[in-house]
Amino acid sequence: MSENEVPVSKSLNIRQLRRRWQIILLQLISTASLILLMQRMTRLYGTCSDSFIESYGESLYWCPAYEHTRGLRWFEQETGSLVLPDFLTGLNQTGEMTVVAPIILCFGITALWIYVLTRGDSTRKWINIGVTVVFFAWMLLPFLISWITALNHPLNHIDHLWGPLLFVFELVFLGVVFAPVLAGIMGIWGLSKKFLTWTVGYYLTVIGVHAILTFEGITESVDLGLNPLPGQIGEATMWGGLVSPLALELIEVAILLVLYLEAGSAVISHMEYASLLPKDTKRDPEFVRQFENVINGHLVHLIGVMSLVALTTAIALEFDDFLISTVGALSGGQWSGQVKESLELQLTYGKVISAGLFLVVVAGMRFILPWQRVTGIFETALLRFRSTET
Amino acid sequence: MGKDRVRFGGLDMWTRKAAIMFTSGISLILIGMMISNFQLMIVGLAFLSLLAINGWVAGHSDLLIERQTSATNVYKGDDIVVSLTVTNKSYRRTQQLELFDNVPHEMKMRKGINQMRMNLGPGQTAKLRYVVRCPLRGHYTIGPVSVRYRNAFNLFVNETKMDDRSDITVFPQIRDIEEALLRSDVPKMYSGATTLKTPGPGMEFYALREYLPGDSFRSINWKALARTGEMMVNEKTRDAVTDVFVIVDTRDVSRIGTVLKNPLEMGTVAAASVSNYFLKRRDSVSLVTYGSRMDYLPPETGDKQYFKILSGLASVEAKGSMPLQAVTNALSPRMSRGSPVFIISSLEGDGTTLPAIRNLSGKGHEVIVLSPSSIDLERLVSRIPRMSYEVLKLERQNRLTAIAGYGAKVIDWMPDVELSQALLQIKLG
Repeated sequence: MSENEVPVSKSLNIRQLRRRWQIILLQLISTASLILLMQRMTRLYGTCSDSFIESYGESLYWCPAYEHTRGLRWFEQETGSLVLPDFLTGLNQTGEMTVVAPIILCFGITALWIYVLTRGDSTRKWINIGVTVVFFAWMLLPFLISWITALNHPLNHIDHLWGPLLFVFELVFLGVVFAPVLAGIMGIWGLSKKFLTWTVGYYLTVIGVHAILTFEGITESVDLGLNPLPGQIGEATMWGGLVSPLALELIEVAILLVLYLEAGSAVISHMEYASLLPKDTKRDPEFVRQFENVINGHLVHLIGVMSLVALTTAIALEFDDFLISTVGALSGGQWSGQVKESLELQLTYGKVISAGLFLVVVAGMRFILPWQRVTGIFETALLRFRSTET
Repeated sequence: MGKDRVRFGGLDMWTRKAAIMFTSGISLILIGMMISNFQLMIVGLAFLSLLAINGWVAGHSDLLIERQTSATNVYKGDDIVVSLTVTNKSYRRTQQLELFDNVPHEMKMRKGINQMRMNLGPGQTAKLRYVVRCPLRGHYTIGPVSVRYRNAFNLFVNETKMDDRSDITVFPQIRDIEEALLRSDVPKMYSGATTLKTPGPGMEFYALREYLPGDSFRSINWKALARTGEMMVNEKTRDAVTDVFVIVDTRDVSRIGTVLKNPLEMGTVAAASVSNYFLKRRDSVSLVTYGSRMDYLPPETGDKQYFKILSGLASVEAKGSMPLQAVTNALSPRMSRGSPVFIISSLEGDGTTLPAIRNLSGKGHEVIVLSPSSIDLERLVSRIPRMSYEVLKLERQNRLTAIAGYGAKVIDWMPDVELSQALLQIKLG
C-alpha cells in the first residue's frame, strides 16, 4: 500500500510467483526428491527373493515387488500382447532407463491436468465429458457394432471387450509404481496438498506392506517371493565409518520422503499466503520484501535442517557402537567386557533404544547450545560490515 | 500512537502436524522393532530427528511494535489509516512471524491488509499500512497485535500479544442544514447570554458597511452618509442566543430496519446535524437521550459541547422502553421558557407521546418532531403485506396529525429522504 510499487514482474501475483526462482527451486527440489525416492524404492523393494527366482528356473516370473516391467512382461506373456506400446511403458529399455518414459508420461499428464484446471468451468466440463465419452466409446462401440451387424453369426463378440480390460490391467501394473509419482508431480506443480500427503501415505503403505509380507512369521505361511531387507544393518564403512551402505539407502528413503513433502508443502503454503493478499498489497514493496525474507529463510531451513536430520539419523543409528566402545574403554571389568561382546545391544532393540537416547540428547541440546544466538551475532556483524561498506 | 515491546518466551506449542509426526515416528519405530524392519524404524527415527532439530530453531526475539492511526475521532463513513512498524531489537533473526492487528469486525478493510508474514534480521524493520472504513458509529478499539512465530515446517507455534490498543470514536455523520430551514428566534431569557460577534438581528453595534438594496432605511447611518457622502448602514451583533433541546429516542424499538438504516441511526445523524447547526450559531444545545435510562447533557455552547454531543451520540445503543413523558417531566424544570425542542423519535410503542408533546407546547416551547418512518424502515428488512402496511401507515399518519394538532411541527421522515429535504417540511408546513 505504499506509494511506490514494485514492477509487476516482482509482484506477489500467483502468475509471477510461479516464475520466481525460489518457488521453482522448491518445486524442483520436491520433484527431484520424488523421482529419487521412486528410484531408491525400486532398488530396495523391486526385486524378488533368490529362492523364488530359482523356483521359476528359466521361465518368466512375477512377484508383487515394487517394479513395473516384470509385471507387464509377465502379463504380456499371459495375454499375448499389451495395449500400451513398449516405448511408453519402458519395456524396450533396461535397468533404470525403464522408468524414464513413464515419468515423462506423468509430466505430460500433469501438464494437461494443469491446463484443464486453468480453463473455465464450462471448458473443463466439456473436456471431462469428451474424455469420458471417448474412453467409453473405445470400450463399448467395437463390441456393440460387431454384435449388432453380425447378430445372426455365431461369433464371440465378447473378445472386443477384452482389449479395454487389458488396458485397465496394464494401468494397474504401471500405476503401482507410477501412481504416486503422478500424484506427487500433480501435487507439486498443481499445488495440491491432498496429492502430496497421498503420495507420502502411499510410500509408507508400500514400505509397511513389504515389511509385513517379508516378516518371517508371515513368509512361513505365505511366501509371495518378495526379497526381504537384511536383518542386520551392516558394517559402517561409509562417511568415515559413520554409516553402512544399507543404512545409507534406508536413510535416503526416509530423508527423500520428508524432503519431498516439506518442499512441496512450502510452495503451497507460500502461494496460499500470497493468494490471500489483496490486490494492492501484492505490489507493495514491504510485503514483497518480507515475502522474499520468509521464502529465503525457508530455503535455508530446508537445506540446513534436512542435512542435519540426515546426519542426526545416521549418528543415531551408530550411537550403540559409541556407547559400547565408551563402556568398554571406561572400565576393564567383567561387566564392561560382557557389554562389549553383547550381540543384543547391536541388534534391532539395542540400536533403536540407543538411537532414541541420542535423539533425546539432541532435542535437549536446544537448552544448552545457544547456536541461534551465535548465528545472530554473526548476522548482526555481517549487517554492520555491509552498512559500513556502503 | 501505541508503542510496545514484545518478547517471545516459554516453550513453543506443537502443531497438529508435529503431533502426527511424533506419533507416526514412535509407531513406526515400535512396528519396525516388532517385525524387525529397519526401514520402518529409520523412517520413524527421521521423523523424530526432524522434530528434535526443528526444536532448536525458536522464534525468540525482542520486537518493538508501534502503531499509528491517522485519527482517533472520525465521522461515520470516514477512513482511518493505520501504520504498524515492527522492529527486531534483538541480534537474532525472528524466523517466520505472522503479524495480525485485530480490527473490529464493524470496520471494513479499504486498502491493504491487517496482517503480514515476515522474517526480520537483527535490527531490521517492517512496516504494515492499511486503511479501514468506519461505516458504523460507536466506540471501537484497534488492537491488540497478535504476533505468531511459526516454524518453517509448521511444527511449532508460539503466539504472543502486544496489549497496546488504539481507541477510535466514530461520530454520526453531520449533514448540511440550510440556515433558512431552521430558525431559532427565541432569545435566551436568563442572564449571562453570550455576546455573539457575528452580524445578525440584535441591539449591539457590530460594524458599518455599504448600503445594499433591500436594507432597511432605519439601519442607515445618516451621520456617516453626511461625512462620507456614501450610503452606509449599521450592522448589529446577533444577540439571539437560544437553548435548544434535542431529545433522541434510543429505545429498543428504534433498532427497526437495517444495521445502517434504522430510526436510531437516522436519529443520531439528525441530532448531530441539528446540534452542529445551532452550536455554529453559538446557541446552547442540550442533548437528551432516553432508552433504558435518560442521559442529559446540560445546554452549553462551543466546541467542547460539540465534542460531548458527538461522543454521547456515538455511544448510544437501542435498548429499554422509557416513556417520553417521563423524560419531559424530568426535563421540565431545567428547560428555559420557550426554548425550541427537537424530538427525534419513531413515535412507536409509546402511549405517552401525545400528552408529553401537549405539555411541552402548552409551556410555550416550539416543538419540532422529526420522526423516522419505522414502518418504511421495517419494509427494508421484511415483507409487510400491502393491506397491513396501509393500515399501519394510516395509524402513523393519524398519530402525527394528532401531534401536529397540539402545535408541534411534525416531520414524517422517510428512509430514502435526505435530512435537509425532510427538514424542508417545516418550512412548507
